[in-house]
Amino acid sequence: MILTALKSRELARIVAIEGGQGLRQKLLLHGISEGSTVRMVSSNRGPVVLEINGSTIAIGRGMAKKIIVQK
Amino acid sequence: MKTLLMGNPNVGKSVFFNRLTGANIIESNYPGTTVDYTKGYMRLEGKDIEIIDVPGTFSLEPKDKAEEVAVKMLHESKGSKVMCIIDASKVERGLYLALEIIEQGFPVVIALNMWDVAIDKSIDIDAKKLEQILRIPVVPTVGISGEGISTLASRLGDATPVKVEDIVERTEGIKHKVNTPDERWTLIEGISKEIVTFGEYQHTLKDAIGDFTVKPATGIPFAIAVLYGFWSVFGSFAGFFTDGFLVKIFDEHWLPWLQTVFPGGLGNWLYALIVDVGHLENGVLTASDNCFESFGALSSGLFVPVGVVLPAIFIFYLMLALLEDIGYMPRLAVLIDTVLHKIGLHGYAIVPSILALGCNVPAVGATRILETKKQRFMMMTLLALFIPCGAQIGIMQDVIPGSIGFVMLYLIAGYFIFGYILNKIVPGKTPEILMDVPPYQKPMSRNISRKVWMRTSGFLKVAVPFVILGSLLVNVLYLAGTIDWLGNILAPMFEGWFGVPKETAGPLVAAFLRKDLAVAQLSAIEMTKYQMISAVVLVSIYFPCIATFAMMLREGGKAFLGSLAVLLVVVFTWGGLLHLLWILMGVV
Repeated sequence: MILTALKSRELARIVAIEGGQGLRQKLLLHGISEGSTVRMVSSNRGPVVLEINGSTIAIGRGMAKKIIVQK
Repeated sequence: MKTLLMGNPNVGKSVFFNRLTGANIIESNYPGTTVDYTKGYMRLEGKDIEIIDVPGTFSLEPKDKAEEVAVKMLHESKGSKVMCIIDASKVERGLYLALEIIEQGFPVVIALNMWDVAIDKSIDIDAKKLEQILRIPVVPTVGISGEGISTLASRLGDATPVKVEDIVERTEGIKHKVNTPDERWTLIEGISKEIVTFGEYQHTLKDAIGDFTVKPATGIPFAIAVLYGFWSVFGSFAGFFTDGFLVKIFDEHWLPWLQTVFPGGLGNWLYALIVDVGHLENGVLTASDNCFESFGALSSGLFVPVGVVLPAIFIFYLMLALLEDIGYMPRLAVLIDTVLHKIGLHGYAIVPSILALGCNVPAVGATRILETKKQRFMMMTLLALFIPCGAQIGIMQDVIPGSIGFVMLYLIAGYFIFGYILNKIVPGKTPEILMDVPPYQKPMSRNISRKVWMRTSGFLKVAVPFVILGSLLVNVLYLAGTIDWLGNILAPMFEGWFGVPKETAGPLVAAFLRKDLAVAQLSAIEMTKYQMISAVVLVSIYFPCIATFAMMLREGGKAFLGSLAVLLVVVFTWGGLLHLLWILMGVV
């Protein structure tokens, strides 16, 4: 499933980032990498807010849609 | 020897800088924005070492102007050492930058900062092991309390250049070379496997509040409450001190004292410039009884910045510092992101926008954190036109307390409407937001007082001389008849198009230098409430003050011409529209 489909407080593991090298690098530099576990904070409206390894990150919906997760 | 302080944004570099250099800061940055470098000196083993606080960057491939400054700084500092500050709760990305710097051949020491935060998050890091792998000094630190900082400084001497191939050799399971970002990430993964263990993260009340204030459903009402609280405290605090004390001191003591001791007297040109121009009452030149009408460089010129604006500026910066240090600004950015995307900006644009409410000059500098030229151009133009600075807001509170709400709303509406139009016509892209939301922090009173002091004294240093200079200039132009001449020539435009008295010419000249002075001078002109609103709006949008102008020229370069074109259009349409509104309402 895509990251934006995750509901608040749900946990999931990132399995793929469907994007070019540029996007991958951008996300990696913000600690978003394949294999990490995320906890969704806010996904209803506006940017997606998630928590990875105890750090909170806000990410635009367009980018979030390119992140594939597994519950 | 020179040492650069580098690291990702928001890891506490400035805290280190202040701790290391103490009171020796020789070049001051605008506090709260890390868009330019700052130099200072640290005393170590009897020697002075130059320390440079470099803007935060994620990598050596810059993504915005602030990062460009960082990378340029590093490239221009061959032979320097680098103190790389890493957020211990986000080790991997910190190591990415550290490795890039090591690969460039710089001797590096690493601070694993926010060690306490990492412990709170049950992240366990083996600093010794990291030091063994990298062969460079690694010191756990807590910047805010100062823990570990002196150890870090004392180990600066142990830093020597290391080869990445050797690091690869010492990392288990890694065999390849490091040439591409992906290879670098694999190496970091290998290192991190050996040194970092993530425990079970226990959520606390702080996290719950963090979630509550960032989710739109609960966060937006909360944000509205915060901003409303901000505005109420601002108004009542500033009003209390200005009307309660300072107006009395200036009008009942300072002005009469000046009027008695200053040589000359009403009608004398020097007396008019410095103390009181007086006004005609039934054809007789009469002395002023308040500092708004006297216009003198030492009466109005001191009263405006000190008597009216100072309390407003002080309370604004105090509350701003609290919001910044608690960590509320990024949450506000997340909440407003959707709205700002409609005008071609993203949530982070709230930072320059709010800074502009204090002073437009650092706000123009803060546009460096936006990624594209389009965003920077739009932000710079919109804030210079539509966001009144703290000094102007402070004086408006005092002279048009009943209409200030309308003026602010009209300006905010302009910000969004012209933002929407500019977004349609300016070519370029608006990237999506990608931003760390830091955990809430208890503000440190030492830091709050330092920031408030620096910004408030910075205000006084600029405002007092410029307001005095502005008063003198306008007075000279009045005496020479230039202002009347200008007013007469422009009368058809002033009266016909904007619906304001032609005497507005004087304050508009003053507004080049200081907006607060301009609004103060408007209050001495006889006009209706609605004309006053129009005139105040004109003062805001017709041109940025000279300090903002210079900053825009420096930061915007050629794009500044574009800003000027927008400005012309805005003044005539947005200024004229208000007149039309009054006509339709039948109040003129």
